[in-house]
Amino acid sequence: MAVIGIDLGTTNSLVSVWQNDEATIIPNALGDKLTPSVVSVDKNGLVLVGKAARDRLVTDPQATTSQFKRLMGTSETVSLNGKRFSPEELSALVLKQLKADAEAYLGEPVDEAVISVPAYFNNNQRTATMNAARLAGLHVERLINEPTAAALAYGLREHRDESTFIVVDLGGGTLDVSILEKFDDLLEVHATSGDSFLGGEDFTQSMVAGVLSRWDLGNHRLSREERAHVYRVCDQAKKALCESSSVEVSAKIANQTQVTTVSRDDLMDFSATLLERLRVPLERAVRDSGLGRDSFDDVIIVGGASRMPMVRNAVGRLFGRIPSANLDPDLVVAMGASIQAALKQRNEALRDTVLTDVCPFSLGLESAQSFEQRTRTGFFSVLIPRNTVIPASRVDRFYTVSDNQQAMEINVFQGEQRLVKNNIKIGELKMPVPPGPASKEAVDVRFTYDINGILEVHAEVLSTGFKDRLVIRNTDTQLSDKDIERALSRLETLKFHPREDTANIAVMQEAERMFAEALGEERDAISLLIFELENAMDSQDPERVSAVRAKVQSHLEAIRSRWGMW
Amino acid sequence: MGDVVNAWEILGIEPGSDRRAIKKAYARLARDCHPEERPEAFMELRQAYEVALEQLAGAEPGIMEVPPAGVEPMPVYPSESEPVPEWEPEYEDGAQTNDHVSASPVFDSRAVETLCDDLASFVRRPLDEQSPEELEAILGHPLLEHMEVRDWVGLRLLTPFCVEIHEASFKQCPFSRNTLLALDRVFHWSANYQMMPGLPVDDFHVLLDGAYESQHSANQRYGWKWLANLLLGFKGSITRREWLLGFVCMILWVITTLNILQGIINLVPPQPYHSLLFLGVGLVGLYSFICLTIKRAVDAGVNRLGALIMATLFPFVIPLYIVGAPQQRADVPDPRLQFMDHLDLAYWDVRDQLPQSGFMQKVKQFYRRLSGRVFGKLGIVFVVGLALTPWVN
Repeated sequence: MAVIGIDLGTTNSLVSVWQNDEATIIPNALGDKLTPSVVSVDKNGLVLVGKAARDRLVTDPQATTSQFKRLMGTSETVSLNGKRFSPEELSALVLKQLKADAEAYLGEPVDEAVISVPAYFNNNQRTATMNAARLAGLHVERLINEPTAAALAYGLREHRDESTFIVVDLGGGTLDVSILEKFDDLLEVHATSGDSFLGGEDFTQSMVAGVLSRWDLGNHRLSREERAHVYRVCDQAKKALCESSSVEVSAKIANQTQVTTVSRDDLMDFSATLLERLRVPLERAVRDSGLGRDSFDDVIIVGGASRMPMVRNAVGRLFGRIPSANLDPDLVVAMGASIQAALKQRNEALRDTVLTDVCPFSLGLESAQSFEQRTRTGFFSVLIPRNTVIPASRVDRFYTVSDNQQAMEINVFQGEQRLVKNNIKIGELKMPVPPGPASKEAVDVRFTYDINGILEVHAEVLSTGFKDRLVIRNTDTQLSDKDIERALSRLETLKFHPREDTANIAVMQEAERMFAEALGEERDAISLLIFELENAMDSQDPERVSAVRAKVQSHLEAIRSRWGMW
Repeated sequence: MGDVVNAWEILGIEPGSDRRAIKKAYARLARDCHPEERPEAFMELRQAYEVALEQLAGAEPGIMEVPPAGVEPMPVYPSESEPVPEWEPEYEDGAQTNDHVSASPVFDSRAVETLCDDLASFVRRPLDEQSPEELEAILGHPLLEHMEVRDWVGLRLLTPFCVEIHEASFKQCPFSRNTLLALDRVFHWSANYQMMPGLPVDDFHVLLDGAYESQHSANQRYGWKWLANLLLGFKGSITRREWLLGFVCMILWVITTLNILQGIINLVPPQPYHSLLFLGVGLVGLYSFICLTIKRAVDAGVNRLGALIMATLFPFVIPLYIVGAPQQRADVPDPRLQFMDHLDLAYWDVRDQLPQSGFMQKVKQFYRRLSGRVFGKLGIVFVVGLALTPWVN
């Protein structure tokens, strides 16, 4: 049975499969490769996912949500038409859709997948992703880091035997950087770094802020519909700026049409701080890899946001070379995920390829240090430093701090900060020690981090031989099995539009969105088209529906072309 | 370091083989000890590989070596007359080649030295002469675009800082906090604390942490958590003068409360033991609370006037504690909150876009707008406290 690779993105999601010795992207019911990661609930309580839902961001923002990947791993919930959803549930809805697409394409049930996550996702965020997969009925044993996936897709096409390259993945919501070396059939990740809150959406957001301040409109005075409208307009303008050097942005706010012209330089001004933030993880990865800036054979840039010339320029300037983007930046990660799925199954064609990945964050425990006769606690002692090749196992010895100490607490953290309070706690263990003078008793702590991202902590008190162990795994749920079951039954009560209707609904939602954006005569024309399509759908006659749909689509196309770029 | 002899044995090559041979052996063996199938064997192989590379690095200096911290001469930028290659990639022209990539960038070492001196002298100026605009201008130097220059300058600046702070025993920050933050934003010292071996960096990082803490929004600094920590973290002792101060505060408080309660007491039928009980228990509790508030506030660096105000206000805050303080999830530190103000703003913008129920969103926005300013917040506390006092009684 095929194992699929899924790129669950902030803006768009994709599914792909290893077939006939190459990675193939599976199109969705509309024939598109990208499925927008947007979920919406319509008036009848039916759930929409994908393109149709994205159009509803403008027409019905109350009942539509996007960018929920950014909330993964937090306990925030989103309410759609009064129904509350956790980010895991929303992701599960998208995954379900992708799973259905894959099943329709392959003609067989699919229940195993490899999902890509930003390399910089922390333990909680990874766990949340695993839970989402469980809710969608997918068995996921392995999460692959997005830049590693991208590198895998590139690495297999690379014909030179030896090369070192850097992969920059700027997606909708996250930035990831990986440095890789290919040596014979060995693909070795040297360093990984990133920022899980920097992506194309942030650039759009900064453009929204910039444009609104030009129009003297405070951010908070806009209604949700207007905000969604401006956001969409700016998103389109941002995309158009990849091609042309300046675009006109116009938005309808409070029944007034505001117009301004934004050039590439303006966009750069708006997002200057973002560009500065872009540089930090890049430099860190280079430093961590211990390689010189000029020792890279190639700089590969992937992710939708990498289409922006200013991002390319920034990356180019940093490495002194033009980044290459030979594969479609949107598809690379999904392709890599399916390659990883094939690797995991030890597919024959990939039998000799070995991929070694690294642990993207430092793992360690809380310790005390003495400063000039004072003992301060809360310091982070690293056992497995970031960018250690996994699987890895490290041991260290820790001593008691005070006289007659009863127990030693082993608090396990992950992160890069000097103080544990700024890092993320992922587990704890308590070791009883026999009382005695300070630093007489010692505990050996061993961390073992395996290839599936499971951290095992073993501790042993030297004098008594007392042993204990703690397993922290990605699949270890903060949600108990009961919670999962409850969520599953909740998801089952949701009703979806039948898959055959997807195309009709997508056209319908698009028409409604254009209706909301249009004025005057065009508005009337669109409303007639909507009416006609509705009638056709009510008739339940598939032939009539598809004929009308084609007609409506061509009319909409004509209107769009009159509007200009979008 | 692991067993060296064993390492070569595992790799199956002659000790002292070159880098290429080691890598070849590793790549070959990794196929058999596939990390998917035999993780134990792979870990052993990997360790052997690392040991072998380390040994190699020891034998031929300069390959994997990290430059030691300290003041060493400028490493690879020897040219004085050669211009800095100002290369701007341009994609519009379709020039998609990498022909002009120079092997290693060459920088004007004299300019770098000057930049370094400029920054060092700027930092040592009296605090009121350190204008942010000027600093921005210095930091906007095109040379700082280059990672090598930035690393070098950063280390060069940091070394004397660390020593000075270490010697000053950080009773007071010898540098302007804002300057420190602006420098850190360029040189990323706080993010790379592990990369500076051999420097007394701890004290410096305490300063940097403090500077960042002071940058956090007022909401975080003067939030409920802060107040609770302040009051309930029993530390420090209380002197006689402070007891006295506390006593004065209490009297002030009792007078105001009685005045406010006047109306309510008149409404309720007079039952003398009620008010006596209330007064008796209240006074003892308040007295200690107020003293403690003042003491802790002073310990935490609030000035005397502020401490007095806080102590007077505290009783009105108690009901809010009972009602429940706004949540701050400590288990998952939100990475977005570590950023500067404008990014914080951007974060809230993204948050605002997430559909929430209309009422809660309005409440949140209202609260956020008010809580942004300390005084606004104290004002709410005062008003809400006044409103709730009769209700609790």
